[in-house]
Amino acid sequence: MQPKGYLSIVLHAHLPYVRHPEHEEFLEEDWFFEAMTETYIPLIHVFERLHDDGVPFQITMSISPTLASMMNDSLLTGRYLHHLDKLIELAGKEVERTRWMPEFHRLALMYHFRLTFARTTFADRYARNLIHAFRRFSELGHLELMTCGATHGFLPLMAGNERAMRAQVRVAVATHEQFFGAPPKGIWLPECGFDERVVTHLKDAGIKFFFVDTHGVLHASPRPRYGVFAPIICPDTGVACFGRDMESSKQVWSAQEGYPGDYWYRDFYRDVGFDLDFEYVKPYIHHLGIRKCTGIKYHRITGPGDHKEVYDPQVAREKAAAHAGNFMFNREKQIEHLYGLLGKEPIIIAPYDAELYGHWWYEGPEWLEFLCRKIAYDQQTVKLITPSAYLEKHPTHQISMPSVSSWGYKGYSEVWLNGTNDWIYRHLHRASDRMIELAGRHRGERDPLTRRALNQAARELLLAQSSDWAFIMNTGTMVQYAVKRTKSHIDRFNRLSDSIARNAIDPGYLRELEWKDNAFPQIDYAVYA
Amino acid sequence: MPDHLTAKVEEKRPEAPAAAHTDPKPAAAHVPGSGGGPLPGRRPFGGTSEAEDIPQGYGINCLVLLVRDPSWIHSYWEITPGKNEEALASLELQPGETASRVLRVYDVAGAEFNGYNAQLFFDIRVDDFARNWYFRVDPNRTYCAEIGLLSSSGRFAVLARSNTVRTPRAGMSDVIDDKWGTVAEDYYENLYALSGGFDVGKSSLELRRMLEERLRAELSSGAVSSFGASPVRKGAGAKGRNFWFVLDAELIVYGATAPDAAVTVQGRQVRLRPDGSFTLRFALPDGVQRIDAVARAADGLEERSIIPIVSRTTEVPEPVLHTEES
Repeated sequence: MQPKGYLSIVLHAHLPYVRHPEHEEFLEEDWFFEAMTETYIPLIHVFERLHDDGVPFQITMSISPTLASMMNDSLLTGRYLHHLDKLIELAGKEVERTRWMPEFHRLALMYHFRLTFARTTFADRYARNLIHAFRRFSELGHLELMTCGATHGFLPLMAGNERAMRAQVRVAVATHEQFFGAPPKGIWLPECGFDERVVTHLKDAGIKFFFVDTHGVLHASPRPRYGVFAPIICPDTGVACFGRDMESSKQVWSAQEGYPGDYWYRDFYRDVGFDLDFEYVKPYIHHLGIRKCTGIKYHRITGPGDHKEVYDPQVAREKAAAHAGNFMFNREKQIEHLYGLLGKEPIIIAPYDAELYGHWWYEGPEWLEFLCRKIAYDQQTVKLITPSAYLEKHPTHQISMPSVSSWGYKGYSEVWLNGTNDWIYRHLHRASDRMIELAGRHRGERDPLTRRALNQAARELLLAQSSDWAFIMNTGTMVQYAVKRTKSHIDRFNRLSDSIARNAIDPGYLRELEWKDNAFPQIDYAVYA
Repeated sequence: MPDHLTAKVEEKRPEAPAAAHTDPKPAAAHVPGSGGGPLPGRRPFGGTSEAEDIPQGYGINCLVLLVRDPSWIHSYWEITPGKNEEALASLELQPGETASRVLRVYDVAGAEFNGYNAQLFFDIRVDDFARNWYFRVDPNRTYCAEIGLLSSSGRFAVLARSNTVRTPRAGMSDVIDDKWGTVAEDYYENLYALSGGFDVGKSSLELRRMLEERLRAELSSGAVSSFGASPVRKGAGAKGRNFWFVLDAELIVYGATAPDAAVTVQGRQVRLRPDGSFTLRFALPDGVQRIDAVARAADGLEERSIIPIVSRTTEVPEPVLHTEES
């Protein structure tokens, strides 16, 4: 039976490039370790189980170039393995420590099992490189892999500098092809930050589709005949634009109404790193003795106050199944209604940060797995699809230019442009202008040292442009780190570009930067010319 | 991110400045600047171990506009002292006349601004020492700006001209493409409502407001900022106070025997250190724990047991509150 509509689950996986070879241990590298253990590996397990059971499923996933680079980096993956081994050790101790408390003991056993299973997945089955895993599911036809801006640069605040936007796109596409074996057909614009001027560059890079937030499509011109329930094609380029569906987002993201807040789900904050005796957890927290999350948590949300009951994984699992059924049921109703109204099959775009699944919402991956199974076997109205497959089936759509927008708070650029972070832009813009100047002047440069310096300058610029820094400054936690990253990349860029202009490149300094800021090894500064 | 799941200790919502012509909001990390500022000092190359910093300015006159949203534009500039002198001189101020810095914003309605072809403009007085400004505008318009010196007699000397920007639309486009079929009057209203995830049956103004509310409240992006933050520890304080106190107890059981002996505790084998010692650590709940510890000699001919029996109860009296006087 033909479905009445389509659902595209889009997972956006991204972390900024955080790699500090100059320190043995660095707190912010934890972001990567936590995401690996709590999100990426569990998602891979979901894909494995679905595939092994022969469940038909299609999910779309963007893996940002910085994240892919980190997954591929042997320094970071070596550190990750060490981190994971320490966690397994802690879990083992917890198994012993909780022997007289059965409710906690069974959780300790659960964590010990999950962590050791994660380790075999990571170290043995995928040879310490999860890129192999995602690539495998892409080749099996389950995962459509997309890219994202090279360093997640926020395009609407690049002051219309098309070469700067183009570089974010081109470096991303090249990096994606390098890691995944084929250029991407789709891109997740960082924060869905859309600027009209980027579209031709997407087209030139072979991109066929991208995403914007709901109002990006709703406010498009001419008015989209099918709202967000069909893509629109950007004028003159043929690049398709899909808009986020609010309804399905709300059910998962919303603080008030969303699934992750259910009282039976695991509480994020009651972590043993904070709850247990200092001397006991000391080897597993920051080496300076600062407490931090370990990922081993024993409580459920329970209610709005501070009182937390012990987590019951059986009940939580049942909840995840019920919520998946509820989500599917709502999509069925939504699609039936829309099918009647629009006179054609709608496509529902449901994008989420990948890190929501597993890290923030512990039961998220289980929910996703239940959803895929239920959609495959329990109904006929909705079919999972990827944007590429949809465009192949339905290539003709209304031509309309999306509106400038983002999926950030308030829908535009305020998150990244306010009193906490507006100071960065004069530096980023000046650096972009300078990079373009240098790239033009050194077209076809032969001198190897100069080429290396130009390439490194491009790296520094890209790293400075990570929208993550401005985002962190706005949020107010870990601000110092974000400020330091911005200042150091700008400073490194300025010194390099000065030295290139004066023909006085310091090889020692250049080598040091190449070692520290080693993202995008194949970059060619000509991308700015 | 769902609000209660983020690790934001304090909700930071950037506030739109109230007045149309606003004061700039220098952030803590804002580079302090004079109006022009000297050229950035060149530091000798010394490796990244030195403090890495950004310069005060780049010695280039510029004015840049960045669109924040349909109703606000952010501008920043750099004016060299030389340019300022030049502009001041060109005003040929008469005795008693003064000049002040002004941001002149032009609505250029899609045309390429040549200095004269704007539809209308408005002036914003800015401090001599300001280096950026947020100002209020209309949606779906095109703007260009100049920063300059305005004499009290009304003459204007340009210091720098900006790029041209367009503010996004704040609602649905008025342009309807007939090629895609004509529809009923309320079709788009319904569609807008459905797209925005609301109940059908609201006016488009209400819908737009609800969409904005939705964007404001619930569905923001961003996972990375939440990593690495410490959790909020709220106290179950009496009378809304923020005081808290938690306590728990664990039991350490340690012993030693001949290094080649076999030890079990509560039936479970215990690994000995090379010197024959061992340590166990247990969370101690309320109740009684009988700790059967048995050591068996390597030759199997002798067994010794030691059985501590530990009990715990916990009392939690009501919090005691002292008044100011006592």
